Amino acid sequence: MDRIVSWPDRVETALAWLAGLLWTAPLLYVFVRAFESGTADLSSAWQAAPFGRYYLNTALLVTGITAAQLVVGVLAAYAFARFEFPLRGPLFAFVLVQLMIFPEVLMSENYRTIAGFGLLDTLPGVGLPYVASAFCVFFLRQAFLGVPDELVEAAQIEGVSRLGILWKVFVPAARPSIVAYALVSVSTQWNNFLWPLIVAVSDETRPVTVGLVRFLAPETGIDVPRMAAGTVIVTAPLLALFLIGQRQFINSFLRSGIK
Amino acid sequence: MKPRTSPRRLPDQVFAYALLVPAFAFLVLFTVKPLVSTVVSSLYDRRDEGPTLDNYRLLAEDEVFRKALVNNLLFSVLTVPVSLALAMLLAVLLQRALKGKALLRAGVFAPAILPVVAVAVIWLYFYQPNIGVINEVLGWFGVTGPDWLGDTALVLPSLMAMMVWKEAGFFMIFYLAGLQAIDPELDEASLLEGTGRFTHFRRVTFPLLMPTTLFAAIVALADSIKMVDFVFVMTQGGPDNASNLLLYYIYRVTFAQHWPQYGAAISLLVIGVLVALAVLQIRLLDRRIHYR
Amino acid sequence: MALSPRTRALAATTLALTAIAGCSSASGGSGGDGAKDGVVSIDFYYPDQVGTLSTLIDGYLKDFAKEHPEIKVKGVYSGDYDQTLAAVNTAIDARKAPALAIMDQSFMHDLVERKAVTAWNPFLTSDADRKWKDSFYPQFMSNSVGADGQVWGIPFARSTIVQYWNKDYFKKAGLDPEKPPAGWDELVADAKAVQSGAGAKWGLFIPTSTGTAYWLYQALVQQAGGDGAISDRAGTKVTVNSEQNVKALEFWASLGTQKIAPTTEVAWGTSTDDFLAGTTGILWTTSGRIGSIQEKAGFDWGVSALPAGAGKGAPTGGGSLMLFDAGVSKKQKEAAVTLAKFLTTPERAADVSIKSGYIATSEAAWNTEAMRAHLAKHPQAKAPHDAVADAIPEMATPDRDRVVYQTLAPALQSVLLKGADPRKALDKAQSDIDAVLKTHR
Repeated sequence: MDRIVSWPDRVETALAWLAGLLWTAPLLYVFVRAFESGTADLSSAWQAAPFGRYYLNTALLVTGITAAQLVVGVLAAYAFARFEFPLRGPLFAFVLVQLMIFPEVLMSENYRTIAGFGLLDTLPGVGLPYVASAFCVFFLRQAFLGVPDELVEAAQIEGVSRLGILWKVFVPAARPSIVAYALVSVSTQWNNFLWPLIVAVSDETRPVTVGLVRFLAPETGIDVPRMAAGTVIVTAPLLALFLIGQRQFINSFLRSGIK
Repeated sequence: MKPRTSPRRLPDQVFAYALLVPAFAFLVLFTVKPLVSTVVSSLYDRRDEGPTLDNYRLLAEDEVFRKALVNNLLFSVLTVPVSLALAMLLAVLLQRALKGKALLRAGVFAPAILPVVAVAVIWLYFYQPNIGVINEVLGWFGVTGPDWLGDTALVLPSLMAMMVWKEAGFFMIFYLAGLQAIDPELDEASLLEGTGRFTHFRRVTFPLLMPTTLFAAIVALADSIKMVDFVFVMTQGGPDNASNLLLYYIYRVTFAQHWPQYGAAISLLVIGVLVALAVLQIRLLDRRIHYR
Repeated sequence: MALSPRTRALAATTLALTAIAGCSSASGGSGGDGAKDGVVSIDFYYPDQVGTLSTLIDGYLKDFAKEHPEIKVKGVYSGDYDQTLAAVNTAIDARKAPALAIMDQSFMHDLVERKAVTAWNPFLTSDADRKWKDSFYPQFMSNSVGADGQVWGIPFARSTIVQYWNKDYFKKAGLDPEKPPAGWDELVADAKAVQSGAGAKWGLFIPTSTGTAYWLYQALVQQAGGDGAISDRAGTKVTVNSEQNVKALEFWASLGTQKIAPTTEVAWGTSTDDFLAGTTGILWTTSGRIGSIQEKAGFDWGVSALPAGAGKGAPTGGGSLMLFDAGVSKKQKEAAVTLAKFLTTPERAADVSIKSGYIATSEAAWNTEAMRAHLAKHPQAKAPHDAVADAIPEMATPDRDRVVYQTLAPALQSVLLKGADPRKALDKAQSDIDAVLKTHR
């Protein structure tokens, strides 16, 4: 069924392009400035800091933390959503209270803990405080609660073990929520700056954000082409990835959407 | 019906506790333990003598803290709904059949890919009063642009606009996913009944996106408090503390002024507010999920 | 929050788990006195405020490794001065302080009070050592030495405030391009002239940012005939509301009311870009910007010492090498001293100065061949050297962040940006600062 192109349609199309332009313009400007003298600025920015290493560190941190959060979160959410046990209520309340307490607010104490483990300036040291996320537990529990009992009972009849049920029934059914949480987690770690700045002091452990600031230091006055080049180096690969894979990316939330 | 049990199978209750061990272990280690130390620390003075309530007394009269608190409340209360509303609008606009849709989506999402520190450096340049891009563009239209970051009245709104720009594209992705989940038959029904677009959005789309909105609201609220890296790069909280935010102030007191005891007292107050917010959100969220 | 036995058991389990994880991934930290097989390992934190310093230091450290195989230095770029302080503070708390770090000299009182730093004196025992210490300009040493004669910092990347002016604008406005303003009246007159005669948007930029407003204010107070140092030697007595203090701030605020300078914040970081873009005809900022202005200016420019009034001279600034104590063994400290000497030879001091714009820290450095060749090619580079002659110490107090950034800077900004009354603002700042400092006497 084809719609007739109506006035409201045109207005919406115009709005869409206007919004697209507004959102893209700053970045387009940055990209243009990065290439204003060919690739000279890009290559000098690339050489100014070991971006390859920073990228690797960020990749390890982002995947490591997100994976750990999901494993830990899925297990705990499963317990809360599926089983009856003494103190379930209080324990869950204990998790909930921490929903909005993030490691950043407790930086000073966490630094001591990490130092005590001898993990300063190591990737595990940067990542450990984020491994357990109350939000992840809470959010996945909500998703698990929505899994129909019939699915679970069917699996039980087939003799699937409890962990098997988690893996074969709950995880697939909650995939949209898991993907949504993963996206938030990846984004948080990708943006993270303050904590790594304090804990990761050498090039071997620094993520891209901390490395980027190293030569963007606006204290010196702003060198726009250089700044633009740094920004392009950091964002271009991800942007390309998104452009190529956005359909799959958005579809991975699955039909049922976020619950 | 009785599930099949194997002889070596742990009882359900023990199994459940085992599932909780990793999460609780890390929560205790990186939230509860530091929280307890923070409470203790906040009761000591700068020379670690105490216990005393001096830090809290100081907090009650600390003008900078009050400014940071008000700034942060304004920042959260304004950026969160605006980001989400724009995200929803963008998702609705970019979900329809449209030439160049993929490119537009990528363009709107792109700012979300930029780390906050990079966003800050870019916008620091855009916002410059004399050599910045924004005022140059305004100049083409004969408008003399203001000093966005140098004016105590404008600095916070300018920072808010920047963060909305960054966050809206990010949350749009969630709304796009949420929109995909809405049954297309509902659209067609509205079309057949001749329901107006806005009415359709209000009656059908908006309520069905509610779970997404609540999820995004939690994330956005948390971001509005912890993503303060731009203050470091752009304003250092100035001018005249007009852009001081809570976490930045905590960082300054704890690390730059090396007064962890007072920093602890501020942290606890902030945590108190956060916990209250969390409880509020859970109430909302629980109601939505259960009675939907 | 009471912990149930169960919670405690869980906590214990976690600790055990994490400890195991820790052991497997910790990269064999340098425990004990940092010495292993006769090789001493030390950490060295260095900030970079100008963008070129970190590359330079990386290079020096490579040379050092060749010359001193017995010392292993882990060089850590630690952001700007404030971030470096934060990083060092956290490291001290964990008793893992770097043996050596370049710190903003004005953090000294804080660090000494907390016993975070070690004095250099015990390591300067031979005549050669003392000669090395005495080779630095006394203006730079003046605020590196405590009231009791203890040396806490060795000058490394030091600077002062200088005046840059746009000669093209001066010519166009009918002014003598070789004659920079030498007093307040000339300053105002020249600034107005470049606005009306050469079309500059603004006449004069004196940065008012939170992080640096106090520094420029110091120069103005000195010019007004007051005590530009603002703080006494021990750092516990600060005067910001004297007649001259008020006069200096009134003059500063008058630039805005006369429309010579904006009444919004003049940003420290980008003021150089404004000067380069021709937004302002005159700029006061750090001597450390000479390099980048030289590189980028598309017009003829000059640099000089600041104008004089009843008084003369600008505060020094920048970073010094400091020795830290927490978790650092005597051997490591000795290694740090060796590194410090290596980094401050006249040749390297000249190299730092030439490539980064900081002021070479000794007369010997100014007399090196490299420096002479540089001066022959870039005569402007001599201006900061001349400015050092009248330099005054940078304002330094205990609890500096609270005194300077949290109290004085907002007070100055409230006058400059929001038109508050200078005397009232400074009186209030004075009582707030006194309250903070009272706890440190």
